[in-house]
Amino acid sequence: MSVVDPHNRGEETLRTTTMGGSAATAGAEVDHEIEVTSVLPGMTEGYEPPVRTQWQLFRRRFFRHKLAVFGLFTLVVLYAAVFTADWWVPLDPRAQDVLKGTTSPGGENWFGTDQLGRDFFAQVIYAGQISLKIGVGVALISTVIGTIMGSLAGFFGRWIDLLLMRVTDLFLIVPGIAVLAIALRKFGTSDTIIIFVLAGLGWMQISRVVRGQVLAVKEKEFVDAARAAGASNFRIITRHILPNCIGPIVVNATLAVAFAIVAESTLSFLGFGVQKPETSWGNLLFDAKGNVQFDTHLLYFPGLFILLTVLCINFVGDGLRDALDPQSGRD
Amino acid sequence: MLAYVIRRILISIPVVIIASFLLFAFVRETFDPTARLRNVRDPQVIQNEIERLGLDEPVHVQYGKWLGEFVQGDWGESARTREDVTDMTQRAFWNTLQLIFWGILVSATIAIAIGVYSAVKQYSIPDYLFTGLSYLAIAMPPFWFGLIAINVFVFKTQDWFGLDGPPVDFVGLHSPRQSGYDMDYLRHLVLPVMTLSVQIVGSWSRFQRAAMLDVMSADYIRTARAKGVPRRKVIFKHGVRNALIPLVTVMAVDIGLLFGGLIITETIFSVPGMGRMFILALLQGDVAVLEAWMVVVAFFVIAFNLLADVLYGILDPRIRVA
Repeated sequence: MSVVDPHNRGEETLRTTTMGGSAATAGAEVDHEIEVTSVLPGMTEGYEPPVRTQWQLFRRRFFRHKLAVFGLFTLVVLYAAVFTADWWVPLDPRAQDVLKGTTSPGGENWFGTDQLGRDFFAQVIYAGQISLKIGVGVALISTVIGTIMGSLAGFFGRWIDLLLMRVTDLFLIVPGIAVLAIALRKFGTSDTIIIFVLAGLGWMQISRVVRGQVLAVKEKEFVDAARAAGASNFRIITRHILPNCIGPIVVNATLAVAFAIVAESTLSFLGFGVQKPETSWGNLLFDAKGNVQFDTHLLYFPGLFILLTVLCINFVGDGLRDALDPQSGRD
Repeated sequence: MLAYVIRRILISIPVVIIASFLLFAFVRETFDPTARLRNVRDPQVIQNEIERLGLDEPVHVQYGKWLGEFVQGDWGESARTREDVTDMTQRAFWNTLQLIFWGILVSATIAIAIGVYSAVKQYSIPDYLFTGLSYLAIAMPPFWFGLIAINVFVFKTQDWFGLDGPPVDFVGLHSPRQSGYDMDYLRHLVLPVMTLSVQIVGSWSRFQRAAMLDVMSADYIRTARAKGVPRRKVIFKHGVRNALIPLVTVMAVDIGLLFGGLIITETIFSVPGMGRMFILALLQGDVAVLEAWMVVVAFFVIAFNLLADVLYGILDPRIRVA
């Protein structure tokens, strides 16, 4: 997290190269001086700029973005509420009361009840466990795969780069939703499989971003310096290149959560995703689609939760982009 | 330019072949084309069917045969309805094309208007309003919007305004036994077009706003203003015309994607187009239909990507020089 800013690169290089052996120390020192002078021109003598760590700078920029703070706060509350549902949701989502049937929101049923008289608030909250789990799971897996593939392709080029680009080309011409539907039809529809299938499609976006970053960063002097100091390729990638790509990786990982939640709900809505008895938000909407005329609450609440989640994730993504990558244009 | 276009097309061919082969192998392995004979007791009948369809051969041989027939215009028959896949695809394609045409027309008009207005009146209240709405439009799952649109415009409006019947329809593109392009057709078009436009308008209007802001800060705009060209003329003649260039390329790419991306809209509104054909074929393991779908969609995605590149070169001479 702390190596994003060019100011830090000098130190990082110095530290690693010194470890690399005495032969490279001279080179590292030169590199260090260059970095320092590049920082100096804005300063006048006797002026002491306030010292801030990268983390502080990042936090300052992020918290200036009000919508991002709102989004983050809402997401934290949402995740906490959904995953602690066992402790605080008053009614059982599975308890049926067929005689009661569908009722509108009110009384002890905050979101009303469904056709079988089950409390809809409890259902929506518990469905959120699956939706949010899939969102984070897909983001984690696709970020790991995407980062590995992207950095390999960007760093080594040649056949691995060619392969990656051709595979992504392949998926660009076939609509993602179709690939997902076919894959789920083939492999089944448990949570874990849905996560892996969605990640199987989601990693390509991240790998393209990482590849582009790596291509740019690997030409920098500090990479040459590290190599001259005898650092292995693995070390160069993990300690020098990837920390400098952290901004786009984090932003894309965040947006991948939103992608996964929407993709899952769309697939479940089409009937290819999460299957009964498990429920997700998309799944609840699949049930609601047969009855759009009357039971409006069954239609609105799950969708509102999807909308709120995705909206907040997009806000946080915007905030992270501004905070981690100040050079990128904001309109 | 011509050489570039030809090279791009030649590069795309192997990609389409690989994609269709993977789909072919995948579907062949997942589904049993003889499933409809499940109730037939006589094993000889099933054996005959397997031989007729050539299912006993290795998958790449089957694929080669299929490909040979496909390029000759023989796209096989649907395993489900025994219908000619060429006819099926043509009919479905025509319906999808109508949705795309109206959807793009509506989306582009609204998005350009919003984008230009927001940029010219930057940081005004309507600008913030449109920005907020576009955030919502982009974050909203399109299928949810479609369902709400049905709920509101078909059912709620009847209660609110005391109408005798629904003001708009939400099943197919025509009422039963109707096929004209009249009021009935328009009433069927409203909701699907609205549903498919929401997200597109959201992203295109953001894009158009950014492009317009970019153009309006260019030197030639200041020059035009300085030499006394009226503001309105500067905005529309110098500003909008140049700000449309990047949008046109984005539009071309997005339109290509729409040929395969109308699955949700067509499912919700029961429009018998390409997306619905795909979903039905997938549910029934109809290989011939899936393959035809795949190739047609890939063709349009590639064609419109190419069009985007070519258009960019034509519209913006700076690209050609560089």
